[in-house]
Amino acid sequence: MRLPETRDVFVRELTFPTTIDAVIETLGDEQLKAPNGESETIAEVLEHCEQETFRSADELYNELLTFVGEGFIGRKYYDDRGTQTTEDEEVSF
Amino acid sequence: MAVALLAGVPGVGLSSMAEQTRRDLDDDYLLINFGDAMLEQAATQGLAASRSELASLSRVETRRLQRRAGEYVADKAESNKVLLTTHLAVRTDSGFLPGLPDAVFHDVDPDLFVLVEASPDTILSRRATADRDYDDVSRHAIEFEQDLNRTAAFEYAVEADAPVQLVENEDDVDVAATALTDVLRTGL
Repeated sequence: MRLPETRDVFVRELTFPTTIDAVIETLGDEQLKAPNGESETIAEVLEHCEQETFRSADELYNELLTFVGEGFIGRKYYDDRGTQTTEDEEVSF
Repeated sequence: MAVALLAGVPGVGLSSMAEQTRRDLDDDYLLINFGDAMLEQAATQGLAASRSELASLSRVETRRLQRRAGEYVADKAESNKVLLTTHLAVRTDSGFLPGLPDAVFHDVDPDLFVLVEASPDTILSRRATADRDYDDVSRHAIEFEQDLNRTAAFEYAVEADAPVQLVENEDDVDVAATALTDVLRTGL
């Protein structure tokens, strides 16, 4: 699943506040699809997380985003649809 | 399938209500937070890694992220009844921006708008005791933002030929969530 779909799964499968152990036990095998590289499981992502408890789905989502691998984090201003001229960019002729 | 757009000012309790409502609905439904989708896109493009950083992006960057997030929602709505939590008026460092610029609006193509509201005093009280940090704003500023939401909701509703529903979250979140569930079961 893509990262934004995790909220729906968190809400259905977990009761907040929850612990990192409960998240990994319940959803650890779920695959997160990386836009630019290798997918990771929720357990693999949270392996680096030191937070023990999560008060809300927001907090858990933020932690996931903090610890996902390079396949989820792109280069600044890179757009896979190619260069787009925007209204706050200067254009030279 | 269909999209119900759920909106309310920060602190009104929209997330809690939407999550509780989602648990009461079946597998046809999918809860998506528009900010989650924007944040995924922002991270992918190296623009932001947290919600607070989203508010500091330029208008052009914000619009691009909104567009990508809108396409994602449209894709998901092909096979799900999407409950989309979002802000109809987005507070940024440049001022309030429309939550659904034209291209995003047409991609998302909502079938129902639900405004979740409470009195400004209730919202201020919830913000004061919340875990997350909120900007220090006045009662008047909250009224203003709720007015912006109403105006935006009705303008979008006219364009989409879709109804607007009001759900009040003044006291008990369970009661409000039940009301929201009823609205969604009837309206989607």
